[in-house]
Amino acid sequence: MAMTVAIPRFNDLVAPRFEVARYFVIARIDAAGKIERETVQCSGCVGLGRVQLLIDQRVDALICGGIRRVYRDLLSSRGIDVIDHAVGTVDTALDAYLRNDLQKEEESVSCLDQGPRIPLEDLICWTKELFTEHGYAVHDAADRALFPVDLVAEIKCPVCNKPLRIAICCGAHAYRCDQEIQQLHQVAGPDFHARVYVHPTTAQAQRCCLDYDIELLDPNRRFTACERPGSHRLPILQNAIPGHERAFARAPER
Amino acid sequence: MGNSLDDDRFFKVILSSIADGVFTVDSQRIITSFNSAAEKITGIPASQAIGKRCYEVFHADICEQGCLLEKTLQTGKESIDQPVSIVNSEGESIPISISTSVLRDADGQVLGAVETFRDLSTIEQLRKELFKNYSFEDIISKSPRIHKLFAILPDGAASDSTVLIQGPSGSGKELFARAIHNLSSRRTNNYVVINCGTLPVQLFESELFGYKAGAFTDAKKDKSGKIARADGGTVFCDEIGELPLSTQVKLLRLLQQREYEPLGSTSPVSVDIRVVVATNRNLKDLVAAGKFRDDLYFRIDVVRFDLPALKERREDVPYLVDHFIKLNNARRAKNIVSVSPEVMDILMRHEFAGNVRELENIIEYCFVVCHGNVIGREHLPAEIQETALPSDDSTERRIDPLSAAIDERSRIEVALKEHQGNKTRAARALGIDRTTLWRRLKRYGIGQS
Repeated sequence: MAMTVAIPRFNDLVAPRFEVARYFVIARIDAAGKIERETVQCSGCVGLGRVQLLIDQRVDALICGGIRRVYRDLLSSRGIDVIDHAVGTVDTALDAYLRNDLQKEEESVSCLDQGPRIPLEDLICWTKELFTEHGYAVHDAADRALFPVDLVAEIKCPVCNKPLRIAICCGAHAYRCDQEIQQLHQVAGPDFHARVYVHPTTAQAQRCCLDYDIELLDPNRRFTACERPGSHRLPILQNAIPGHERAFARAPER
Repeated sequence: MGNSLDDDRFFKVILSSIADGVFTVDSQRIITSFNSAAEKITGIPASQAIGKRCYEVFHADICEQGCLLEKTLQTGKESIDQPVSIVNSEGESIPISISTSVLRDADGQVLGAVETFRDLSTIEQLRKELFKNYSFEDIISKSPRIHKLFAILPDGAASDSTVLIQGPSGSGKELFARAIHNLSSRRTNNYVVINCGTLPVQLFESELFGYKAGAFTDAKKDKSGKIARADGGTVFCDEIGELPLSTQVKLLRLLQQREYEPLGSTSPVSVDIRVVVATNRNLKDLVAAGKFRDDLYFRIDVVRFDLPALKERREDVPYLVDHFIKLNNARRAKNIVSVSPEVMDILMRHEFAGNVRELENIIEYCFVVCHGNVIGREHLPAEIQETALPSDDSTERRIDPLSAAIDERSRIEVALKEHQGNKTRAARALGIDRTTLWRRLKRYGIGQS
């Protein structure tokens, strides 16, 4: 299918910022896959002028580095597919897009799909009991400076017997889990050996937890026998704690 | 500080505890460290930033031309407190001030550079509020209806035609008017606001057109009016629907001939202005009712923007809530993270008769009474709590607690029986999460004997 792709250019690279890029590569791809490139100079042109330029050039997709949300939304509303935070050379970005390897960034906020809602008190109660059942000493995080940490769980490493502290946030305080996860990352510092975010699995929660090295604990997950107290496996947690990797070795299946 | 491992930990603790963003790069501008404040300001975790080139993370307006880190690496000279704008992970423009310095080893060899940066969003936000210096980029909306308006905004701004902005109070009419001025070729000249609703009829002419000495008692010397001040720029006439018929004719003449006569003057004065008018009333209805001149209506209805009420673009509520939380955090030096899911549900259902302004006031009220990090239902103004449409949960709560408990217990028992004791399926059938079902089972002692 014929299409036109615009990429702001800085030397050979995808320009870091849409609004100040001096050149745009306009690549027209015909139905046979043949690519024709043209470079358009854009200096002195403000953000909206750039939007107009892309509309005038009948661009179908924009691959760029940083772009202000307002321009991204405006382009999207005009039917232009915006792939931002792209890095690398113009050629590799275009190739990747044409191979369908460049994906649009997922919306970070969606008021309509926040996953299943669990009352906070239910989640705290359930989490407390789960960790207690598995041999942890659990107490409420009384210090307000620790918000959004709800619980602190303590246990001795089953391998080296050193005490381990885990900060647990039951993710139902705020309507945006990404904000809550980032806040958990900010407050639960080196005093804790692990940070756990209790929340049903959603793409956003998974991605944010991965970004901030926080363990996502889905209350719908099943807990296996090898995690029971008495084994050499640290219960519940799945992400190895640095220095305690042996406590995360998989136990032989019975 | 005994050994290098301890030193490393020691410096990491210091870096993670300071409020300024700090990162280091090697000689190729590849990020080698990224502290907690840098994560917070950019919204990008250290795990993603380290190993990337700095311009792939910051997207600053100086990355292409005039990169200060590059300059520091090349010359060895430091730079201090330079204003820069970056784009964070959510596409928001963040004003920061940056300082750079070169990093050398014990032998004086350049290892890379360090940049510290301070978030100036609060100062910039307060400056915007103070000078009312809002631009098109400050309009917050995900609504397709607003985006359609965005799409015609540049052409509308460039045309120099009279613009009519219609929309209910608090829907952002002035923001659009400012955006039109700021996007037009007149942006370097004055933008003058005339509130037609508050100007007494007797003062209308003298305020707008000025007067000559001796025009009336106390007019001791010439005074220019608002129209003269706007020469070369834009005049924004707000609440034009409130303008009395007697003064409408004077405005009509100004629009038709682009000239006016100051009070007491015998000769007309030409003026070069662009007129933007706004109203929360339906001018067509006013024309039909004989309260607004039809010739004036047709003169101003050239390029029209109809702004929707907030209840017609509810998808914007979460974004506006985030915006007002940030704004109030800046104003009140608080650290509120968000609203609770319950509050968001209430706000998403609220009618917002006062539109965006009402939402702003609600969040401001919540900031006064909320001393924690999340705005809960109890922090909402009483009338919002009372008028909140009942959710499924609250309907349940209003029922007599004893009969509700018996009802719930039997519903759970039936669901469990129907699904042969499978709690996941029973929870799904009941429309609740497994965790909630688990707690209800405990509460009612089901399956514990």
